[in-house]
Amino acid sequence: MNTYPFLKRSSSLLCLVLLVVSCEKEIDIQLDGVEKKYVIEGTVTDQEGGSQVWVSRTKDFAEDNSRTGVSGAIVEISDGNTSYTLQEDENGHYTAPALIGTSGTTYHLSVRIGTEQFSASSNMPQKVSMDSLYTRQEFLFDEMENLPTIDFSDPAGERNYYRFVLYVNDIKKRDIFAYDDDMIDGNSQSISLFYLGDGEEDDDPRNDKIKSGDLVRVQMLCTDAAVYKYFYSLSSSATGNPNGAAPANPVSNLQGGALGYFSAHTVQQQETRVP
Amino acid sequence: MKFIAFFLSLLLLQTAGAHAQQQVVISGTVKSKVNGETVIGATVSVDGTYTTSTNEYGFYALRIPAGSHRFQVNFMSFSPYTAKISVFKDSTINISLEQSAQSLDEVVITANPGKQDLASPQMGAERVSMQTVKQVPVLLGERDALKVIQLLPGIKSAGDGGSGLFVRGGSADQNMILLDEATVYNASHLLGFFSTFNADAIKDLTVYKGGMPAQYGGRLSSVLDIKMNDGNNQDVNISGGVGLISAKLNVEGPIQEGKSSFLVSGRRTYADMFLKLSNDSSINNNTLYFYDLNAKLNFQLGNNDRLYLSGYLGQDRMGAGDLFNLDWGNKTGTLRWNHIFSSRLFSNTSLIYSNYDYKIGIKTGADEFEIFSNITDYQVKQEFQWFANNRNNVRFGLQSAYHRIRPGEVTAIGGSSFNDTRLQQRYSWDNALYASNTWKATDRLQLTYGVRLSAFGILGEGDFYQLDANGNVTDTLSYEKNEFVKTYLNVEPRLAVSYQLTPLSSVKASYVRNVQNLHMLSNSSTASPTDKWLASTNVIKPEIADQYALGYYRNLFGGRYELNVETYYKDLQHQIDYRDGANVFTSNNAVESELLFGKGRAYGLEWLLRKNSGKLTGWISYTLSKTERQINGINNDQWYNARQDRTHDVAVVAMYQLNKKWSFSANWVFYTGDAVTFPAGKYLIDGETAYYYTERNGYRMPDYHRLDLGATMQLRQKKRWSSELSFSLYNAYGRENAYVISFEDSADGNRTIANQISLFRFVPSISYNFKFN
Repeated sequence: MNTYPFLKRSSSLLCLVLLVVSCEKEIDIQLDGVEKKYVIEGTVTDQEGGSQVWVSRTKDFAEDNSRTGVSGAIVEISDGNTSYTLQEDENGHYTAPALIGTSGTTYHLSVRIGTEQFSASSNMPQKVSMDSLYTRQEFLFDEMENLPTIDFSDPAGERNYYRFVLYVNDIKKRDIFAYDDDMIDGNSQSISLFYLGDGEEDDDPRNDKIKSGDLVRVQMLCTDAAVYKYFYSLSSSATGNPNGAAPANPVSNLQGGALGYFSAHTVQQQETRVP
Repeated sequence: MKFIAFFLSLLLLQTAGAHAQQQVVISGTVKSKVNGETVIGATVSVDGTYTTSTNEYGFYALRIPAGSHRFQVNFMSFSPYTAKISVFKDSTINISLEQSAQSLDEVVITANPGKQDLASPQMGAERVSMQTVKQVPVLLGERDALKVIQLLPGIKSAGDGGSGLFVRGGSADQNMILLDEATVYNASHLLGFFSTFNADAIKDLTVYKGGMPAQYGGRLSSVLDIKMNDGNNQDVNISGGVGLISAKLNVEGPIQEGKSSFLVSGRRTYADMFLKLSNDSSINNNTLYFYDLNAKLNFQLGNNDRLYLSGYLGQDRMGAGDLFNLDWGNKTGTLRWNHIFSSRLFSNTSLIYSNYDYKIGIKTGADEFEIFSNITDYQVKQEFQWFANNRNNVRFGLQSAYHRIRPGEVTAIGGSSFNDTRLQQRYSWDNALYASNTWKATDRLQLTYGVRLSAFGILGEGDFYQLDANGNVTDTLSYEKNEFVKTYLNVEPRLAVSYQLTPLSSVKASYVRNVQNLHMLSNSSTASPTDKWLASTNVIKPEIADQYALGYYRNLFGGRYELNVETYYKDLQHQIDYRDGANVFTSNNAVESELLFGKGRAYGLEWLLRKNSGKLTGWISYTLSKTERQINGINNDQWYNARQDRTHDVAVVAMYQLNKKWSFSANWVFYTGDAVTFPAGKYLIDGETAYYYTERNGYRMPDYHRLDLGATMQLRQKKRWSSELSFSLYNAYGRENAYVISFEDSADGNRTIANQISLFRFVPSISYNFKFN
């Protein structure tokens, strides 16, 4: 349970009470460039086309946000018996259409770039059924919010890790919703995604509030512990927001010193229209 | 048993030259005539040659040759008391000091509690007068002693407008904050913007940033010893105030005149009441307030006994409708008995209770649950002060505390999907034995030497863990109720020396070791009421700090100005931080597996130039310092700047009494921005920007500076009634000081930008204070 969204909102309430107008502005900060580092983002899913690996490099803060793909890497994924060599279809994007993952299998990723070697393993957990998706209304601090809500039953007596990816009108939201079943083990759940938009129309559409008539789509991923840790630490320390923890690189399951992660997970998806 | 040998040697005191003539001891208590409050730190002198000062209960004792003498007592704005005395046997002389008539008619202010004591070996200590606290302008006019001490060298504020402190490179949890001897675990209100100390209820605040006397221990970097007012035993006195965000009322008076008194002091913020006035249900559903209640009873039982009972209760409530609420607060209670065994032996016995808890309630959809955590202390302290002779003043005592920590309990309500979760309670028995002697070796050389022996026993019941290098649990050891898991024994030497160079100047040096067995874990960069207190375990070792300090002190211009310069080096062991990606809210009992341990060092040079008297009083302080940590697993195992590492820190405080009606004040602060971690680069993960970090705290926040202005207008005084209006303007030139800098995508998503959030600019306040007696 992340209480941060609550605390964040209540601190704006605090400003109101203290008769304080906080002031926000863009500033110019000189950030030194550093040696570029490789970034590997690899997935194996139980869906067709889900096995893919992005290989890229970090960029300086002042550069644009596009990806600097790394071509010519040798990328392999093995399930212990069969090894698949991924083919590059665009700059830095490697795929293995024939590889569809199965729960209970541990997959091994190997990436060779020149003389450098990176590897990781991930176990695809059993799928926990996504029972339903709907939105419910809740009054959050100053405004009524439509909260996407997912019903499912957490299996008792085992560790389960979930990640939800939220799309509204086919625009992906930036927020990371990664949960473990610590404190909720074995219970039927209605997990609401506390996405709080900024409500400013002309701004970045990725920050829009969820309104009546919007199409809400949620992907539910069942991941292993290391991948949960990666996304949990990414959300708390590497998104650029002072989300509490000291800024740091997320805890990765990759060996060899690259950024990123390798995840074998199940994927389910549902969509609903906001009433 | 080396310690016992040392103890004995302490008692074999140097008494050279004390037998030349028949000696007698005079002793007594110094009080204020107008309200019967005992006076702390008053100077008592006989013939100008025998000098001492009153202790924290107003008691003094002085050994002098039998015969006739000139006897004098001085303290701040009180008229000096002078008398001729003839003593031929041990005698009690109790003094009531009168408020200086002069200070009412003319304008002569002594803002400081007496000139600096050049002769005393005590260094690194500052007393803050409530007079100063009342004058220094602060945020929203909420007078706050903790904000005033942030203007002293070596003491840094933990954030814009905040009351948190970093002392000489220490972390926020390394300050021991005592209110009438009881530990206050979270001294902040409203997420840190105000302290729990209502200035109206406070009599005295002394902060020790180095050279801590042996009676203090348990925290590495400082001691804030705060004493509540005792209560007026002469007259009923009602005072109060109304400010922008809070109202206060203070009632005190005699129960039996001259013998006993009571005091009740309360404060509550009411800004939330404006919320209630709103028609908007989204606003009037919210709760946000805090209150403080201080109460004290004080009985003089005969000539030799005095009994005090004091208590504090403070509570913050913050909530948004049914959705979310966070309540937290401290409770403390102290029962204290002063007993004068003889003119040379003074005893203080205290029974102390202290409690801090927080509760978070969340109700969303079908889920409703509460998170609760608390820490409770039961403590007994026994201290003796033995005025052995004029050259030796001994203190020794015993302190014993039982701590119970409930780290976190989740309680589900109704059909919630949450399971009830109880983290193991932790128990510990915290003991200390100490002795110290202040020895006037020669007229110029004084030493305070002592030792504190601390024994921290970790008690069952509960499971304790053994971990491998990666923090994984390799073994679990279960203990029965009250079974000793481990006891940490530590010897903490305390040594201080002063040498008076001239009548106007002295040098001092000190060495102290401090040990800390209660640790606060904070994952965030700002203090939060939910920061977690942990006791040492088999894995979490006691934090240890060794501090070496050297100082030069000089009075200038006939004592109107004083200069002191201190330098220190501090070595810290067993410092604690979270691992990257640590889960702070967890049902895992092995919290150690989320922690890393390392070391720290801090050093600095502190300058303080102060003007104590005249129409203009105030000070200039400047600190040059460095604070670093080295923890394996952070910053590639290299040394890095601690967040509170601020190279330069300047404060200028000025108070000007124009006439009887108007007084003005101003303070200006400047400091190097905190050390902070900024990204070295960026990359895409799941299609979103993630930031790449290479160095912990490798960057700086922008420099911070701010000017605050204040003015107080005395309104027309009547016989028993006086009142005043205070005005203040916080951040008078509206500097946009960075509170937070965040990094995010630009609106078009094509690039990344840095965003600065700043809080308080041009914050005015007005408050009205009255006094009736």
